This record gives sequence, C-alpha cells and structure tokens, in this order.
Amino acid sequence: MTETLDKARAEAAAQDVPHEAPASAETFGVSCSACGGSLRVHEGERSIRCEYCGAALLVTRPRGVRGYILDPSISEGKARLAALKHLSEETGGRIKARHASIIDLRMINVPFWRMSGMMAGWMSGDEVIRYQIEVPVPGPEGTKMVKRTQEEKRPFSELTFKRIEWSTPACSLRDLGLQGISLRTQMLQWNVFEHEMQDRLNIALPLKTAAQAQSDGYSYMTTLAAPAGALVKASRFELFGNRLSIYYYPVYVLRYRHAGRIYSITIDGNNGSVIRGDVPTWRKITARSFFLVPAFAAILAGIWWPLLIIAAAATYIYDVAQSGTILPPVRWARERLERWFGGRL
Amino acid sequence: MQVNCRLCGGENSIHPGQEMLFCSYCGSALAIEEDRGPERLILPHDRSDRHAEEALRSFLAARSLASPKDIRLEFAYVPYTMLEDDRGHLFGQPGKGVWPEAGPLTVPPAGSYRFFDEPLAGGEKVIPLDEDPETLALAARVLFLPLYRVRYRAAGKKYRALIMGESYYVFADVLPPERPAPFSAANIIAAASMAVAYLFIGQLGHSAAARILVIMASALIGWGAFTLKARIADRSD
Repeated sequence: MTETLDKARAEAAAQDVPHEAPASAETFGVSCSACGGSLRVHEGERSIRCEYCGAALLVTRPRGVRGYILDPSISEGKARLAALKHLSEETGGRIKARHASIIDLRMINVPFWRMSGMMAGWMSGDEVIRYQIEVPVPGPEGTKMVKRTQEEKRPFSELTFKRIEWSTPACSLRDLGLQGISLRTQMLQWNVFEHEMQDRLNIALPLKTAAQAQSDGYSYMTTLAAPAGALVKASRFELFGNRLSIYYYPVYVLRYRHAGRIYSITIDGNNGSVIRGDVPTWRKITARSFFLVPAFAAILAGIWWPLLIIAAAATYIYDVAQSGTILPPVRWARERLERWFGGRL
Repeated sequence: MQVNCRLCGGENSIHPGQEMLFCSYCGSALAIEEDRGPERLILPHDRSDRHAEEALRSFLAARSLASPKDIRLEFAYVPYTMLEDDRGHLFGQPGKGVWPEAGPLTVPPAGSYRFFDEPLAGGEKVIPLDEDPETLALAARVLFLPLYRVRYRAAGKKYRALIMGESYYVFADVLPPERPAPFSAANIIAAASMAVAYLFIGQLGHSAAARILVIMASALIGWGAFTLKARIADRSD
C-alpha cells in the first residue's frame, strides 16, 4: 500500500502541475482486537471498553489528540463595545467611536497545546552561589574594609517529582498579540472539539505539530525543575500520565482605521478583557529643540543679527553636504522646521 | 478532501488535522492512514487591493516613513513548504519560481485553512508548487498563502514589499526614508515667541557674556521643567 502511494506521489511531483491535492486518503477501520467489532473511538481517546464483548482496550493507533473548544461568552456587540471603550480610555477620550471606522470584527478560535502529567527524574550539575564578603584593603589612611561579591560553584544533584501543567499557543500569533500568554482551563465550560466545526467557525489551524509541542513542553519542564542560577550537566526525566490535548480559545479581533492608519484590538472572547490594544499615539515634540533652538537664535540675534542668516546658511550647506543633492531652499526650510518643531507639545 | 470507508466504501469528507472519523454511511470508526505525505492546504482570502494598500500606508505611517505613491499590486496564492529547522522550529520555504522578494516565512498567518482545491482560490492566480521530491518528503505541510506583491514609489525612489493576506502583515527589506512630523504652525509661532522672550530676558545681562549666560540658563530651566512635566504626565498615565 505504501509503495504504490510513494510511486503516485513521485509521479505527481514530476508532473508540471503538481499543486493538486491528492483526491483521497487511505483509511483503516478501528476494531476490537478481541471480537472484531467496530469501535466508537473519538480522536485522542486512549482506553475504551468494547461495547460488544466488554473487553478493555488500549488504542495504539491512531494517536490522535483530544480537542476542546470554548464557546464565546460575550457577543460580538459586547466585544465591539469593549474595544471602543479601550480606545477611548487609552487616548484620553480624544478618539471616540465616531472617529474610528471599524473595518472588520472577526472571532477566531485560537489553538493552544496543553500538556499535563507527573514528572519524575533527577538532575545534577553546578549551583552558582553568590555572596558578599568584606576584604581589608590597605590605603593611605590605614586599612579599609571593602565589600566584594564572590562566586562559588557547588555541585548539586536533585530528585524531582512534581505535577506539571504547561500550555503554549499552537500557532504563531504575532498579528494577534497573543504571544507568551498561557491558557487558563479551570472553571470553564469546554466542549469536545469536532472537526466538522471547521466548516462554520473561524478556527485557526495549529501550525505547531504535536511532536513539537511535546518537545517544547519537555524542555520547559527541565528548566522549571532546575534551581535558579544552576548549570545542569546531566539529567533524566520521565513523564507519567502524559496527556497532550488541544484547546481552542475564542478571541475577537477588531480592526479599525483612524487618520489613514489601521490598528487592531484583540478581545478575550470569554471575559471581554482587552488582550492587546493598538491605539494611535502622537509623536511628541522633542523639548530639547523646542527650548534650545529659540535660545540659540536669541543669542545670535543678541550678538549681531546677521549671524542668524549666516547660521541658517551654514545649516543649509551642512544639510546639502549630508544628503548629497541640492535641496530646493523652500522645501529644505520646511523640512528643517518640521524636524525641529513637528509633533505635539 | 475525500476518504473512502474501508468497510462500506462510502465517501466521506475530512478536514485539515483530522485523524479519525465515523463513516457517515455505516457509522464505523475509521482512522486515516498516517503516512500520506504533506497535507496541501490553502488559506482562502477575499482579495482586497484597497485593504492591502491601506496596510502598506499604515505600515509606513507607523514608522514615520515617507508615504507611498503609484502603488501597484499583484496577487497570487504562493506555495510555502513548511520544514523544520535544526532547533525544531517550523518555517515556510517559498517554492521555486515564486516571486524573488519572498523569503523564508517564520510566522504563517492564523486562519481557517482548507485542503487545497482550485475553486477555493476564487479564480485568482495560483503559483504552482515546484519543489524537489526529497524536500517535499521532509515537509510537514505545504501551505498556499495569499500574498500581495507591491511596488511603490516613495521620496522619488522605487520600493518593493510583500503583504500577507488575512493578517495584512507587511514584509519589506528596504524601507523609504523617514518622514518628519506634520507641519504645525502653532508650534512654530510658539517657538518664535520663545526666541523673542529670550531676547528680552537677555537684556538683563550687562555684558555680552552675561546676556548669553542668562539666555542659556533660562533655556535650560525651561527645558528641565518641560521634561519633568512630561515625565510626571507619563507616570500618571
């Protein structure tokens, strides 16, 4: 079976129009090893009981992942209100709903990998300990006591046994501002995720694979287990009762336009709080140029007023030399003034 | 994508990432063969040149760069082969024959991906995948991503950029020069009156050196007070 598949794939790759997806995939039935009855196994389920013969079974293939999805508890309208309120607050009331035109408001179910289990193992290495000591230093006025920091490496070895829980976004969400946030799964009404939901909901596809999530989780646990400032030289860990599952969390993304720029605000679909809000800011005038340029002008004018013209000409020559092209004087004057005095006070 | 039931032969459709299903005809549990090569997915996108143009303007404005003129756009679905690097991170490598501006992609946009199917491209151009079979065998997935190729002029020079559809993320290697803040007549009047005020303050000094010192001292005091006020305002925010 695999042989013919590989052949077909190689042929497809050799052809000129290879971007067509394979029209179908192969399947195999999941049946009871004891009586042969067809089983009702949900994705990610590991242990089940055969409904025909009652045998307790362990599912070895497929190694699917259990998925959970959360319905948003706030409506689209509420999300929009929360975003506009944030906008108004962040800009000190300068931008209200009527000043921002909303481009779109979308709900996205964002996937998170979640791993939980019991971690047991040991590690050894060097622990770096810093402490302060007082050292006598001979000087011209006798010996003085001076504080110095000293470092000492002490070998350590540790046994660890702890419950761990770890989660990470399963796709990169730079544009949503969801980097580095972790998932809270407690006290929420999670439903079982079915793949058919992809037809009607905007569900982001996990781009990080299950294997990657496993290895990320593992390296996170090792760093967590080590004492602060330690240099781990050797370690060995086992994870018991390891469960990897995927959680789809609802998030609203509102994009709006203000003064020719697009901004976006991300709202938590569960509690309506703002995860990340992009709001207009104004460039502040640099106080230095605002105070020092007039003072310099006043000094020159006070000494001998034609010095002002000479200084302006010197600045113009300097700018021309810097840019390498002859600047029209009017444009140059405008740009100079903008650079010194542009922005908000 | 369609799969056939092993037991009754019925056709079922599956979704990206799906590993199990129940046959809609006979109800039996089916698992999908794991070894079926990289999935080919597409991120369907409603082409909107206006939004792409706005995204570019917004991108440049956010960085106080010169505003673009003569914006020309091209749109296509571009294949990216998702591969793992040495550190186990996924990245997208654009296929051969793709626009030269397209570099490796670290962050594919979040969105509803579908199995690749020509009608999902909505009649837009699709750049065919041209990748060696060996690379393809290592790939986790092949993504056809909606991409705008932008050429524009700014401050008298030509520039290029790419804009990812759906997320409207802008990729640009070379950026136009900085644009100063908008001209503010009020600021300039304020600055001019400050210069006049300094001239008057300067009259307090009896010699030329004393005048210069008085002006410099008052300017420094003003600057210090202004900076302090701005700091306090920032902290209270």
